[in-house]
Amino acid sequence: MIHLDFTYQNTSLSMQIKVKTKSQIVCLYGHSGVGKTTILNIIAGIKEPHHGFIDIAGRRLFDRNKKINITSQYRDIGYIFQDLRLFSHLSVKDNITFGALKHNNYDAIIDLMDIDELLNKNIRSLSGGESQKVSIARALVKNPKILLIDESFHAIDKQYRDQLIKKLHKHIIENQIVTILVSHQLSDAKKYSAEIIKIKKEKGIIVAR
Amino acid sequence: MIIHNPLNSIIFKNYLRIIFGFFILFSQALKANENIYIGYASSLHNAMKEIVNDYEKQSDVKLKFGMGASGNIAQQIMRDAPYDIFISANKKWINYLDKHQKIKERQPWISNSLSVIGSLKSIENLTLNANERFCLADPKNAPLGLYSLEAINTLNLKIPDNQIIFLKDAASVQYYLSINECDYAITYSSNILNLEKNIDIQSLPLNLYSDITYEIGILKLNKDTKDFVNYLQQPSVLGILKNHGFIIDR
Amino acid sequence: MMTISDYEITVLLLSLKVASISSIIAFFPSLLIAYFLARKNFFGKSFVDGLIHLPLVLPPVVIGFFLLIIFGKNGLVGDIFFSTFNIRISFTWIAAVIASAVMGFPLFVRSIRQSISEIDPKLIEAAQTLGANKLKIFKKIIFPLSKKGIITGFILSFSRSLGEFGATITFAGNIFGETQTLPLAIYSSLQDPDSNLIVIRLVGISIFISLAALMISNRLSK
Repeated sequence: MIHLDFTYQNTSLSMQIKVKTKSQIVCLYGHSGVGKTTILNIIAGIKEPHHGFIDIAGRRLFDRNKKINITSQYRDIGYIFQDLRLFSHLSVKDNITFGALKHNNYDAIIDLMDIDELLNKNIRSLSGGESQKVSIARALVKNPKILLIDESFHAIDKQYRDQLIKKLHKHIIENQIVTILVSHQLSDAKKYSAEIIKIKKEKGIIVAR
Repeated sequence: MIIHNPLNSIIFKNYLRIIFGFFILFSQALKANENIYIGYASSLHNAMKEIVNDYEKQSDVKLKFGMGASGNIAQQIMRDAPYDIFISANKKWINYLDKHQKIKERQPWISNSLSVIGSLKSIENLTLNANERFCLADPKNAPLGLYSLEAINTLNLKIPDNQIIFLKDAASVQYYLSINECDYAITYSSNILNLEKNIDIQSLPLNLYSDITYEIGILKLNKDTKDFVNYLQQPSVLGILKNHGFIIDR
Repeated sequence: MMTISDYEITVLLLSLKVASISSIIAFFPSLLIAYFLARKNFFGKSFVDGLIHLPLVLPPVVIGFFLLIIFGKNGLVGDIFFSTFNIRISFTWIAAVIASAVMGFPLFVRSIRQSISEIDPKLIEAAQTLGANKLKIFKKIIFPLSKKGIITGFILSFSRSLGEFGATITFAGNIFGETQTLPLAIYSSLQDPDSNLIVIRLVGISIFISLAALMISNRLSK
């Protein structure tokens, strides 16, 4: 499902990633600041590697040698950002339907995330947990083939969190969404039965095992 | 933190020295040296350049000049502009300054005539298309404008208000004529010498407007100004003016 | 003495008309140029940037001169207009509008450009991951978030037009009812030694609308 083999460098970060896995759900685990979010950004197309290629769900998103570089908008991804990035000038509903195509699973997702009562609220009036739920819904309504999750549950109350992860897991399996999540809490990864990939620094370079 | 008295600081003292230095320099410029400052009607400009050039060769007086519509210069003089000599294109503005006791001595000088520019068979039958424009000098301050309006009123010409372009002086009329913005214009015959050959020009009959009289007014009476004004009345100078299209014997 | 005459009303209405039309005309090109300057790099970008700022830096009369070269009866564009459509541009109220639009244009562009560059690029990244193409990003993210800059730019351009003199008098002339806006009317009145009252009234009107424009601008940028 996932085959990443790329090098990325900028002034503060040097990366060499080689990951090959058949799992549908994968968790990148490592210390904070090591570069897990950067890997998500590279998969999303927000940052560009210097060499290598990215294969996910049978599609080559990037290949330096073959000059392939599909732009973010066409990578068919849903990215749930760590800093949420909700559009505060748009309504909750407009945020959620932002990336939706004509036929989408809007009702199913509203149900899954249980945010029916938030739809008429202003983005600015949402609590931390409510905002996270809207952010998750926004990424899912799009029906993406690839789901990128960056530490997106910490503001949601613990008891509700487990329930949510279970529902999400079911949705991911049913819709065959390849999911890459970043977390420094191993417990979350276990709840997703995700394959865990350790990201750490070795001699100044970030590697993945 | 100690706050020093700014008046004691070296930077402030040096700053004061620089300002003081500028004042000294500046006041040198303000000191009257042997300079005569002439304000004259803009229609005289080309001729005056030549005249002043000649005069400076035979005298060590330096001449500085400002030009514009006679009325504009007159109003500058009312606001204490440092002119020594004023040459107006009509009596009105010399009279105006005379009334306010600015003129120490005055002399009539040369004359001029009007020409109309534009393709017309006869000016009496002039009608303009919607996008044609008639350029005139602004009668408020330019004598040319007053003379032109006189001619237009005598002929009883009706030109729509929004098709008249009032320009600030004779030089402006000249400029806009030269870039072809005016379909018609009335200007001094002395100005037409510099226009392109293929423009239609007709002189306006003299009886349509009052006599054009240029007058010289001396604002500061001294040897230098009297000498220069005498020079202006010399036949050689009048000859230069005749070459520039002015009328010297009326 | 303090009652406003028809003369002043005509001048005021003309000023307002020229200011509003010129700002409306300047809006779309300003938005476009501001967008490209804020978001894209292209060959010749600093040249374009410099060109746009010329009306801010050059004496307005020089801008008027350039407008004559382009749109005057003998001008590069003006000549074609005249010979093909028999339309003259210089010394008409259209010329006054063009002069104001050109002078206000850099203010408009600067204002919008600043607004656009203040938009958090992370929001744009998010929109991209949500499948939005450049047009959608412009419509849904950039345009709504730059509204403040657009409004401020409009008011700046409008106010600049109310005070515009040099380019207008050179290119559009001082024709009452057609191109004689407030600044030109004040200038004309100053030429006349007997019109102090008119000058006072016109200056009073100028101050009044300028203050009004500033106050509205402050209101809208809150």
